[in-house]
Amino acid sequence: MKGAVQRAPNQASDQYVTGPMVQLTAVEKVFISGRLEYPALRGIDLSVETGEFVALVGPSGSGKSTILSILTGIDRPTAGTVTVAGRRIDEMTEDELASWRGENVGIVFQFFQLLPTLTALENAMLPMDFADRGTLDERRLKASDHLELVALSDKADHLPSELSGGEQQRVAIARALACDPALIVGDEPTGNLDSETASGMFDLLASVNERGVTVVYVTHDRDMANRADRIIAIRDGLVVEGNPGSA
Amino acid sequence: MISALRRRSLRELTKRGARSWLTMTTIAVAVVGVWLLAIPALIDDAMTSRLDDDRLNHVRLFPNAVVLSDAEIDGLAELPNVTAADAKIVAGGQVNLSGRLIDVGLVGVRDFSAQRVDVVAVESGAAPEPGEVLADGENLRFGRLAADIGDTLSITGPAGTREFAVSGTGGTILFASGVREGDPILYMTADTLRDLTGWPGVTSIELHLDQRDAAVVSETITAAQVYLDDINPGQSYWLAPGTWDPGEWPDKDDFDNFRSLFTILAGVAVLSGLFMVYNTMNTLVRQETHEIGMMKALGGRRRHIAGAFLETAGLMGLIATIAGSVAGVLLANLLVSAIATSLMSAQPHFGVPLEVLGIAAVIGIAGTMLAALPGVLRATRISVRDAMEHHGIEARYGDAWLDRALQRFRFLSRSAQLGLRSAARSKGRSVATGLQIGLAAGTAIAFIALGATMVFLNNQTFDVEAGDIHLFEQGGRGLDDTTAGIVEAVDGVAAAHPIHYATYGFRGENYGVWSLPTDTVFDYDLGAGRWFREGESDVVVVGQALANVEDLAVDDVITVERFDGPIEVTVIGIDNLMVNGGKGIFTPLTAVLAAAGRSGSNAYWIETVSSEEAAVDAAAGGIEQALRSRGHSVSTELRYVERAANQSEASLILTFIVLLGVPVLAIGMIALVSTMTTNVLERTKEIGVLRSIGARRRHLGKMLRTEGMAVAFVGWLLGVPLGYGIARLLIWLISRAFGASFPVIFPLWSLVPVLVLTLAVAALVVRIPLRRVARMRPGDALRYE
Ligand SMILES: Nc1ncnc2c1ncn2[C@@H]1O[C@H](COP(=O)(O)OP(=O)(O)OP(=O)(O)O)[C@@H](O)[C@H]1O
Ligand SMILES: [Mg+2]
Repeated sequence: MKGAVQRAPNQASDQYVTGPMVQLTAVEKVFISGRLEYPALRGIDLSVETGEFVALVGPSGSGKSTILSILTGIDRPTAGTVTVAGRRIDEMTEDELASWRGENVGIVFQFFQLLPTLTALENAMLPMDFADRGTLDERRLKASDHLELVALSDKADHLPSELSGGEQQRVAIARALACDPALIVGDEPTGNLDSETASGMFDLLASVNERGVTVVYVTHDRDMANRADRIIAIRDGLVVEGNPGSA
Repeated sequence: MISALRRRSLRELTKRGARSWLTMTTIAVAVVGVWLLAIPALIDDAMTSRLDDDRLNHVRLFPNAVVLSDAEIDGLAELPNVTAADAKIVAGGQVNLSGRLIDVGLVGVRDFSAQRVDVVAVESGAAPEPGEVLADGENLRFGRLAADIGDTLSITGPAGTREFAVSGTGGTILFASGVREGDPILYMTADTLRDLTGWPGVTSIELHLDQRDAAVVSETITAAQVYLDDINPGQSYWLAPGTWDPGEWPDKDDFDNFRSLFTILAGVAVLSGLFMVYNTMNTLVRQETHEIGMMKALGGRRRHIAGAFLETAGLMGLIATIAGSVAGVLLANLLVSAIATSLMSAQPHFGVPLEVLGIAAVIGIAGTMLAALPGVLRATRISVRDAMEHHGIEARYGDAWLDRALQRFRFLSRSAQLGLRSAARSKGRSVATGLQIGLAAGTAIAFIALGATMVFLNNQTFDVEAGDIHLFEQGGRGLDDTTAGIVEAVDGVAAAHPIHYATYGFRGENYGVWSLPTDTVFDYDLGAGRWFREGESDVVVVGQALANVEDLAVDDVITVERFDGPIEVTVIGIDNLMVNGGKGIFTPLTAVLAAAGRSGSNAYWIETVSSEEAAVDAAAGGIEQALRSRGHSVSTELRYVERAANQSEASLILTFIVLLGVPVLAIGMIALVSTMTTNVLERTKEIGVLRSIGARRRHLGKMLRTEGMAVAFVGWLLGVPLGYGIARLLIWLISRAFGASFPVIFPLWSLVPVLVLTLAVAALVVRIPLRRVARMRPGDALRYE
C-alpha cells in the first residue's frame, strides 16, 4: 500500500500529518426539503490513509456525492465527526472552512466549473490568489507548471468558452493542484468525457497520487474504479464494502 | 397542459422565493415612485382647503374709514351675487425693537369667533383680547419679528404708542405674502386698532361672491359702492377695488413653481420606475428560458406558455402594486405634510388621489406584463435545444472589445478582476442599471444645479441693493434735500446714496420703479442698450423679464402710468439682474423728483464705515434719532437682518429640494441592490465554486463591491449629461414661470460629491447580497438552480 510512507505533502500545511488523511466517524446526513426528511447518510465510518488512491462506487442516489461534500466541508454532517489532515472540519466556521479548503483540498467537479471570465491560466492561479500564496509571478509560474503538467501550456490564455470539455477538465485538475493540496477529490471527474480522454485524465490523477497526494474519487465506471488502490462501495447511505483498509 | 401551467405559474412565486420577492420588491419600489405624482395633487388639496378655511375674499374694497354697524355689514351679504361679507380695519404701524422702529402691518378683526371672509385662524395660543395682539405665524418663519406668546410689544400707530402682550400666532392667506415680502403682520381686535389709529369704522371690506366672471364682478362692486354711498354719502376710497380671479390667490406663482418642480420630480421617478420594471421582468424571463425550453420539449404550446408567464407577471405586478401603493400613499402624504406646514402654513388632509392610483395600477400591473412580453416571446421562439442549454447567465464573455480590455487590468487583485468582469459579462443589465443610477445621480446633480441657481438668483435679488442700512420715509414729513447731509454727519456713516421708490402702471399691471442718479452705486448689468445720461428725462431701463413678457426692445417708445399721469418714455436699456423678479423699471432720479415736486428721494442706501453688526445697529439708531429730532418720520432696515431672513428662506427651499431628491436617489440605488442581487443569485453556483476553492468572505466582498461600484460608476458617467439636461429643463421651466431667462448655474464641483456618494452607496448596498452569499453553504450553492 502506497500510504505506508507518510509525509507532509506541502510545507504550507499546518503540520506533519499523523494518522489517516480522512476520518469520518458515525456520519449521518439528513436532507430536509419542505416537510420531507431524507436520510442520505445513515452512519458512515470511513477512513482514508495519507497517499491512498480511493474510488467510491455505488448506485445512483446511494450517497457518494454527499460523502465527498462532507469530507471537503462543502456540506456539514447532521451527526458524526469529520477529521481531515488532523483537523475537525465539522467544527470550523464557513469562512475558516473556505480558506482551509483552498489550501488543503483540491476539488474536481463533474461539470468542470471553471470561472467563465478567467483564462485557463487565471483559473489555475485562483486558489493561490485566495490563499495569498507567494508573489504574483510565483503564482503565474506555478500555474504554468500545472498547465504544462496537463499539457495545456499552449491554451493558457484561452477563456473556458474557447476550450473543449476535455481541455476544461484538465484546467480543472490544474486548478485543483494549485495550492499543492494534500487531498484531491473528484466527483465523477471524467463523467462527461469520452473514454479515451477520461483514461488520460486518470493517468494524470494517478501521477499526482504518485507524488504523495491522497486522491478520492467517485466513479460509475468499472475500469476507472479498478485502477484505485481501494474501492469503497456505498449503498443506501452506508458503507457496504472496502472499509477500513481492506484492499 | 393549461391547468398544469397555471398551477406552475402560481407555484413559481413561492418556489423561486428570493427571485420573486426581489422582482416584486423592485416593482413595488417603482410603484412608490409613481406615488410621488400624488404630491402636486395633495398640495393642491391642502391649498384648496386652506383657501376654503381662510375664505379668501373674491373682491376687496378699501374705503377710507367708514363706520358700519354689524347689521350694515351683514346687509352687504344681501346684495345680489354676494354670499358673505366681512370688514376689517388695516393700518401701518411700527414696533419698537429695543430702540429701533420696524414697520408692521396691523389688522383689526371685528370678532375673532365670528369671521366670515379672510378668516384669521389661530395656530397657537389664543385669539387676542383687547390690548393683546396675535402675531402672524410667518413673522417668525421668515425671521421678520421674533415674538413669543407672553412677550410685550410696543406698537406705534397714527394715534400713539401702546404696549401689547402677544396672545398667540396665527394668520390668514391674504396677509401671509405680505410677511414674506417684508413687513411683519400683527392682528388685534378692531376696537383695539381703532384706539391705536384714531380712525372710526373699517378700512377694508371683503366680499365672497357667487358668480366670478368679470362683468358680474364689476356689477357687484358697483352695487357695493352704491350701498356704502347710501350709508355714508360721498364715500371715498384709499385704493381701487381688488379682485382675485378664479383660481388665483396671493403667492400662487411661487406655489405653481414649486408644484411644477414636484411634478417634474415625480416624472423622473415614474420614468425610473418604468425602466426598473422593464429591467426586472426582462431579467426574470431570461432566467426562465431553460424552463420554457423544457415545457416546449414536453409539448407546451407557445401561446399557453406565454399566457402562463404573463399571468405570473400580472400576479406579481398586482401584489407589488398593492404593497407599493400602501407605502407610496404614506410617503406622499408624509412629504406633503412637511411641505405644506412649513412652506404654505396649510394643514393637508390625508388623501389618496384616485388618478394616481390608476397610474400606479397601470404601471404596476399592465406595465409589468408588458415588460415581460418581449422576453417571453423571445424565449418561446428559441429552439428547445438552445433553451435547454441556456442557464440564465449571459455566459458570452470574451467576445467584446470591453472584455478584452478588462483582461489587461492586471494591476487589480483577482477578486476585483472577477467583479469587474462580472459587470462586463451582463452588459445589457449593467448598462440598464447604470442608466437607472444615472437617472438618480443626474437628478441629484440637477438639483444641486437648481439649488445653486436659486441661491444665486436669491443672492442677486438681494445683492443688487447696495448699502448696509436702508432708510425710508414714513408719511408725515418725509425726506428731502437735507437728508443726505444729516445722515452723512452721523457717526459711523460712510455715504448715503439716494433712491426713489415708486410704482408705475404699464399695460394694466403695476411695476416697481427705482429712480436712480446717473452715476448710481446700483451695479446694473445691461444685456442690451445703455444706462441713462446726465440730463435725460423720458427714458427707462427695463428688467429682462419685463422685456421678455411684454416684448420690449431698445428704442421702443412706450406709455407708462406715472403718479402724475401717463407719459411716453423710450426704452434705452435692458438689465439682466433680478430686480423685482426681473420686472423692474429704472428711471433717472432728477426727472422723477421734478415730476413729484420733491427736493429729495424717499429712500437712501446707506453705507456704514464698518459692516460689524453692532456698528450697523449703532449707525441706524443714530440716523433715526438725527432725522426724527428734525421732525422727519423715518424707518430703517438693517441689511444683515434682511440677509439672514433671505438666507433662511433660501435654505428652506433647498431643504425641500433635497428632501424630494432623496426618494429619487433611493429608487436608483434600490435598482442597484436589485441588479446586484440578481447577478449574485444567477451566479450562486459559481460562488459555490469560489467558496470551494478557498474564497473567503472578504474575497467575495471585494468582488461584489468592485462589480457594484463599476456599475455605479457607469451610472454616474451617464448621470452627468442627464443631470445637465434635467437642470436645464428645470431652470427653463421655472424661468418660464417667471417670464425671465435665468442663467443655468452648473457647479462642476457637484459632480464630485455625487460620484463619491454614488460609489459609497454602491459599496454599501452590495452588503445585502454579500450577506446572503457568505451565509450560504457551498453545498447548497452548488446545488442551486
Ligand atoms: N439537497 C438535497 N435535498 C434533498 N435530498 C437530497 C439532496 N441532495 C441529495 N439528496 C438525496 O440524497 C441521496 C444521496 O444523494 P447523492 O447525491 O449523494 O447520491 P449519489 O450517490 O452521488 O448519486 P449519483 O450517483 O446519482 O450522483 C439521494 O437520494 C438524493 O436524492
Ligand atoms: Mg453524485
